[in-house]
Amino acid sequence: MATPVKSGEKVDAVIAGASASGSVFAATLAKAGKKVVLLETGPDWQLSAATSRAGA
Amino acid sequence: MAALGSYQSGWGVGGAALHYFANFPRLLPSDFKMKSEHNRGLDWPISYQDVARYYDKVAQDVGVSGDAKAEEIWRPAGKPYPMPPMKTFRNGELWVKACAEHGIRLAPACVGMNSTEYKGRPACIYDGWCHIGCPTGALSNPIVTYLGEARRAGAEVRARSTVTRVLMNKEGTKAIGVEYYDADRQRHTQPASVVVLAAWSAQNPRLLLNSATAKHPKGLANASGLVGKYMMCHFASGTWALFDEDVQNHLGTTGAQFMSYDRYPKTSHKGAFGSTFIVAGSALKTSDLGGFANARLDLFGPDLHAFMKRAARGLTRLNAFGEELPNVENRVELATEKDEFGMPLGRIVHGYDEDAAAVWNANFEEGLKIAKATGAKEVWSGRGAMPTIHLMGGTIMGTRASSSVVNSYGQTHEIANLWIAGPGIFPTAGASQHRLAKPRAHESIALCRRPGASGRRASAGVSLEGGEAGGRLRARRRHGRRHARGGAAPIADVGAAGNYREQARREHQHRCGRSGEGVGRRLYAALDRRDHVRGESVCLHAAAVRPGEGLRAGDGPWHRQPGAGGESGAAV
Repeated sequence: MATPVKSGEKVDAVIAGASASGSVFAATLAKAGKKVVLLETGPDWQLSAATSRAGA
Repeated sequence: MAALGSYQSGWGVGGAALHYFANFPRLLPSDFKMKSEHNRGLDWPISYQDVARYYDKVAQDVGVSGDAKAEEIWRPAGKPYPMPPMKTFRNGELWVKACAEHGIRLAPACVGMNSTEYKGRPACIYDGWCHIGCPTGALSNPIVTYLGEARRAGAEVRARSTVTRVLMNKEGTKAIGVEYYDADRQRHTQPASVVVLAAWSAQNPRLLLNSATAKHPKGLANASGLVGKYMMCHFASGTWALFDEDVQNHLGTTGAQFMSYDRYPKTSHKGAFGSTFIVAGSALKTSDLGGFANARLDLFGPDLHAFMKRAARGLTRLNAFGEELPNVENRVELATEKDEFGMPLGRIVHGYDEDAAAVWNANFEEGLKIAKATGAKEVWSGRGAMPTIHLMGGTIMGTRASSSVVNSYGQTHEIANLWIAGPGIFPTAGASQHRLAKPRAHESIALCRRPGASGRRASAGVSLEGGEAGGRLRARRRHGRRHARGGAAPIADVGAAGNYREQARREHQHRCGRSGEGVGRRLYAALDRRDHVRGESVCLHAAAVRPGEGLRAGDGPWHRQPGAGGESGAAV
């Protein structure tokens, strides 16, 4: 795994939207060794907050 | 009232494809040459042959089940799909003969779902809950496919981070990054060599317009004035058929079991212009969106109760999706109101033309004839407000900077390191891609196959090891905790009580650890986009949604229309 991007650090590509389209760009670029940041306005759904059993 | 195309939008990591139906039909060659073949609409700068191998590649990447040979009566030959077609059930099978009697051949629907185990993800269990987010990992949403891949390769995902504008260098020649706000509403910038906008067909133009500078007074990549123009969507004509016997309608997939391109030629319907794509056999739940709770909006009380009881066993639907032609007047523009970050909201102006209405009506007429041929006890058209499904356009591709926003790779003509991804770059809509942005995104990626400004290859091999399947998927069930209240309720006693809405809710809670109420709420969470883009239509379907105005299950236009089931276009 790559090291986390520092605040203000320049990356190879920034993608607005961790969407279907954005994720294809992200996968392709990251696999090619590029430093990629995806910015998503919504939440990152977590398992712990999700199922009744896991989240209870 | 809902914003245009909004119920296909979505938010959260993974985007709208978290709750898409994963139907993977392709465009046909004619979609790319509408202008040259019919002198209508626009031509694409590329042909079907240019993208064909990427269709095949994506099918392998994400895992598509289907019968390529069966489809090749309509499209050029390609590679076989990696998995055989999905299982079929009576609610789909009963349409095959009825369609054939009207000259419509049905082939197995090609879907991004596992008919067998694939790349570490399990085979589908056909429980028919695709539309609320596949609980098993059998459906190829971004989390179990490309996004997982991206994360494993080191891509960093920052949630609750709202991009407000693209930042440019002083000379106005190059994008240098983006400005965004975090969950605490703190402003940040993210410098980057390349900026990609993949935020939604309506949101991308808004970002470009909101990023205007002295050097780009009309907004970025907008010298042509076409940013935000040519917004398009699909519309659906759903026909219901109700049987006395059990048609197994709770089983299958939400999308479809069968599909047909036999009405796809642009002039299939006399007096109308535009393609139609037909699907048959959706798994139906008692829910309101993607189910049949609104199949008879004229019924109330005991009558509705009696109908729901019959429909839970015997109802099935045929759906015909229609193509809207590109029209420069259908557009996203900036509104005077602003969002919480002080950025102007977007506003959609959209109306259907006569061709769209004619195709829509013709599909209802034909659907009714076919439904009668099934021998169903009752048949009726699910006619409500003319739906607006699958938002496309707004940043269309073309060969010239004067008549398009991006080239065939999604790169803006004006700024070499600024790219657009998704169906926003489509110059025509076709009728077949009633799956959300994903395959279109793949397609747009397919179009990015050439090394870009920084020498990368956007189409470089994308494989998938799976592994994030079940756990990650369930990660979306954010309502579970709130609604769990001590675990799942048994199903049987509820059905006996005859409260089918409650039954749906509990059944879902039982299966997925989340209440049915949460289901509705999650779907409608998509409408949170109202804060950014409000629909304003000159046609009959969508009126203005004002920022801050609450939208809940039950507020959609399909709930308000007299007559039956305006939600017929729920397929994604």
